[in-house]
Amino acid sequence: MLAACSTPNRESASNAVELGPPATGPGSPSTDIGETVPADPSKFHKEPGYSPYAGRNYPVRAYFGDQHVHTAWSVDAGASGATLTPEDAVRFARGEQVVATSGQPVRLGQALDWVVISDHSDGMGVITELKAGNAEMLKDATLKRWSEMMKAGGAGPTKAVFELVSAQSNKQLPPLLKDPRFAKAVWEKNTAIMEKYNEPGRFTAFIGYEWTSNAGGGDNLHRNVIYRDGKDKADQVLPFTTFQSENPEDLWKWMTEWEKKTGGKLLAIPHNGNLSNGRMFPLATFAGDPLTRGWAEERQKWEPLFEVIQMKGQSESHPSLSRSDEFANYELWDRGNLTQTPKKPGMIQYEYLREALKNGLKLEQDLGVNPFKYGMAAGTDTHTGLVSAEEDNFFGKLVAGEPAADRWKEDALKFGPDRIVKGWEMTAAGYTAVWATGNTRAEIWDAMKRRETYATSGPHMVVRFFGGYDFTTADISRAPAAVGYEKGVAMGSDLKPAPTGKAPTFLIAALKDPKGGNLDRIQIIKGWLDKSGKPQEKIYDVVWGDAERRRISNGKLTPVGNTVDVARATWTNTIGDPELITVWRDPDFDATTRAFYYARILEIPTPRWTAYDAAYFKIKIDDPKVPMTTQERAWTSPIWYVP
Amino acid sequence: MVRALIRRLIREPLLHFALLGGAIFAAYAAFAPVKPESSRIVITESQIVSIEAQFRNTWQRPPSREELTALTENYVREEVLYREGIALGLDRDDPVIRGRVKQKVEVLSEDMLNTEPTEADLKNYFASRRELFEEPPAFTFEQVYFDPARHGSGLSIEVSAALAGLHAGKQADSFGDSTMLAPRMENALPHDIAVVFGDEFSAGIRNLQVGQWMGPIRSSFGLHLVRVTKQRPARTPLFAEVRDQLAREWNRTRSVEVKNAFYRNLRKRYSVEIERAESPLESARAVTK
Repeated sequence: MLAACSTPNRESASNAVELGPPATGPGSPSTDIGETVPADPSKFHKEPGYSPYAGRNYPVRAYFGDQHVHTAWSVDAGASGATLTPEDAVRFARGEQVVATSGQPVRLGQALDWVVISDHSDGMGVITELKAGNAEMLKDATLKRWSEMMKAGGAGPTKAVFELVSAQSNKQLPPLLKDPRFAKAVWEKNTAIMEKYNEPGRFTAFIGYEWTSNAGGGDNLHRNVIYRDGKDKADQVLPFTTFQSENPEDLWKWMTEWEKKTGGKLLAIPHNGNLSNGRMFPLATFAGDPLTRGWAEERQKWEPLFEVIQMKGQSESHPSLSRSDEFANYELWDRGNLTQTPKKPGMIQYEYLREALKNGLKLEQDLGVNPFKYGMAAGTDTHTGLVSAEEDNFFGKLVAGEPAADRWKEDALKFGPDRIVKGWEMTAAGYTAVWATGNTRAEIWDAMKRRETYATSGPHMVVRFFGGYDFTTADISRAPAAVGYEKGVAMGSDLKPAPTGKAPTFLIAALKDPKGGNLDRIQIIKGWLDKSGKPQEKIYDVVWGDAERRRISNGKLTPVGNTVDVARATWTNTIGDPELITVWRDPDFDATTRAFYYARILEIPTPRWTAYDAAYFKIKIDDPKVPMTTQERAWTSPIWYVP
Repeated sequence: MVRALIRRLIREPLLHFALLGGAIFAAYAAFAPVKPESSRIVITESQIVSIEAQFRNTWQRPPSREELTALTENYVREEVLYREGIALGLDRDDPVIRGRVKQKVEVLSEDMLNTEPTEADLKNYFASRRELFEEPPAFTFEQVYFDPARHGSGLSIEVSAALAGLHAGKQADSFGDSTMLAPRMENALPHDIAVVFGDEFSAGIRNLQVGQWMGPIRSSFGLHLVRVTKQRPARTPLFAEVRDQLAREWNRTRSVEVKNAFYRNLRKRYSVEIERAESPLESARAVTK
C-alpha cells in the first residue's frame, strides 16, 4: 500500500492532518513510500458532525498541469528554431499572453495550476561564477581580464561578452569555461526562474529536467525527473545526462545518490513507450538479464507515474493488444521508434501501459513486487515552449508545426524517405490532473507520489474514482469525495483485503470541462490474472449520457452520436451529459487473483485540431486518413487488488 | 560547448542534421581533402580536472583510473572528429550552429548586463504599471443547480418555485439537482469561478445584488440560482504586498531592454548591403528598437 510522503505544510497543517511515524530509511520494506512523514490518505475522511465541510481535509480540487515542456534551452528545440525561454514557457502556462516563435500571439484558453519545465540541461554557462570572482578562474589571465571588464561597467561588459563569444567561436576558450560549470550556470538560471514563478497557493513551478535516453539509436526510454524541493537542493548536483549512461537503472542509482546527498525528494515519469520499439516495459533488464525483485523495487520506487498521452501520440492501449476495445484506436504513433526505425513483430506488447499493468500483476506474483505499478500522467512534450493541448488553440510540437495552412500535410519528423511522421499526426494533448490538498510543490508532488492523479487528452474534466467494498447507490451524492475517502481508497491506491463474500465496489464521478464537450460514458477497465496465471482484460461501460435512449446490446453500448459540423469546426452539447456518477460492483470478482481497475471517461465527439485548421485557414483537408473529429478522454490511475 | 552540441546532435534523434552532416562530410572528404588546423592534441591539467569534475558532479565520486582513461580517450576522439569537421567547414552556414551561437550570445549578454532593481526602480515601475497589479473583485456565494435535461419544459416553473422557496427562507439543499459542482465558493476570483462554472456564469455573477437569492444565471452545465453573501471589491494592492511580483516583472522588462540595447550596439559596427531594389529592412527596423 502506498502512502504519500509529506512534511506538514501551510494548508494541511492547519487542517490537522495526522502524521504517521517517520519511516525507517532506505532499505526498509516500506521504502516505496520514501523516507519522510506521509500525509495518510486514509485520514482524509471528514470528522462526523452536522457541517459537511468542518474537518474536511481531503483533496477537494484537481490541479491541472504539464510535466513535460521544452523551451529554446533544449538543444533540439533551440536548434529547430524555438526562441521562447523557460521564463516565457512558465508565463504562458500561468495564463499570460506571449508571442510564439512564429510571431503569432497566443494565450491558453484555460491556464494551468502547475508546470514542470523539463529542458535538457546540457551545454551552457559559467559566467555567473566568473562574475562572482571565482578564485580558481582568476588564475587564468584571460578570465581575470574578462572578470574585470564585467565589473568595470560602461562598455566593459559588452566588450567582455563579445571577446568571450569570439573566443568560443574560434575554439580559444580557456578550458575552465567548458562543460560542467557552464551547464551548472544554466541549470542555476533555470532553477532561479522556477523559484521566481513558484507561488505557493497560486501557481506551482517545479524544478525538473528530462533525461533523454535513446538507447540503440532512438528507442525512447525518456524520463522526466521532478523535484519536490527548491533551488537550494536542486543546485547541489547537476542533472544526470545520457552522456553518463543511457540505462534507466543508472538513473535510479543517480536519484538514490541525489536524495542521500541533499535530503530532498525526486520522482521520474517515463514517456512515449509507443516509440521505444519494445523497450519501455521490458521483461528483462537493460543488459538483457532476467528481472529481479531489486529491479522491480527500484522501478516502482522511482517511477510512480507514466505519461500515457502527449503530442507524439498515446501509449495507453493499442488495438492489436486490446482487440475488444472499440476506443483503443486513438492517436496512434505505432510505426517505429523515435527515429522511425520500423517496429518488428512482438515489440508493441512491451510499449503500452495497459499491457504493462497486466504484466505487472504477473511479475508481482513471480518476484514479490510489481515493477509496473504506474499511475496516469499526461504532458505535451512541446518543443515550442507552449503547453498548448487545446484543439482550437494548438501550436504544434516543433516551431515548424505552429499554425500554418500547410502544417497538416508537411512532414513533422523525417528520418528517411519512408520514415516520416506527417503534421496531421501530431496530437493536441495532454495534461495531468492531481488531487492535492493544496497548490504547492510539496502537496502536488506528494499526490503524484501516491498516484492520486489522472491523465487527460487536454480537457479540464473533474474525475473522482474510489474503490471499497461497501459503496451503494445511496452514496451517489453531491460530494462523492466525502464518502469516497471514508468508505474506500482513492485512485492510485490498493484496495484493502476483501471481506469474505464481498466484491469490490467503485464510486465513480465525472464533470465535464466547462469549456468542453458533454460526457459520452465512463468505463472501467479491469485487468487480472486468470487461473493459469495469464493476464486478461475486460472493459465495462458503467454509466453513460442520454441514459433514456441508450442501452447495451451484444456487449456494446449504443454510440452517443455526433453533432460536429466539421466545415465550421463547431459542435453542440445536445447529446451526452454534463456530469456522470455511479456506483459499480465487479460482477466477475475472484478474491484469489490479482487485479487492477481504472476508469476511462469519454467526451462526445468534438472537432479535432485539424478541423479548426481547415476552418480557420479555409483549406480542404482531403486525405481520408486525417481524422477531423476526436473523442477527448481521461484515464484515472488504477486501484489494485492484491489477494 | 560546440563539441557538446555536436555530441548532442549525433545523439538527438529528433534532428536529422546528424545524418545530413554525415552525407556532407563524405562528399567533402571525397572531393576536397583538407587538413585540420593541427595534428597535435594537448590535454592540459585543467582539462583533466574538468573531465573529473563533470564525472563527480554526476556520480558524487571521483572516476576510477579506468573510467578516467576511457573519458579521456573519448575526449580525444571527439577532438579529432571535431577538428576534422571544422577543417571541412562543416560548421559554416549550418542553421543549427548559427542559431545555437546566437542563443549563447543572448544568454551570456543577459547574464553579464543584468542588474538588480533599487527600491526606487520598483516604486516607479509600480506607479507606471499599476493596472497590471489590480486585484479583481472576489465573491463568496452559494448556488443551486438545475439540469435542463432533467426538467424539460418544466424547467422554468421548477426554478421559479425554488426561488420563491429560497426567498421564504428554506434550506438551499432542498432544491435543485444533485451535482458535483461546488455548492459554495469563498473569496473566489472571477478566474477561479470560470474554471469551475465557465465564463458565462463568472460574468453573470458580477451583476447580482449581494445578500439575496437571485437568478437564474446560466453556466456550461445548466441554470443556477445564486446568492452572493460577500463581494470584496476590486482593489489596488499595496506596494509591499506585490514587491516580489514587481521585482520579477521589472527584471523581465529590463532583460528585454538589455538584450535589445546590446544588439543595437553590435549592429552599429556593421554596414548591411541589400541586393534587391526594394529593401526589406525598412519595415524590420522597428523590431530592433
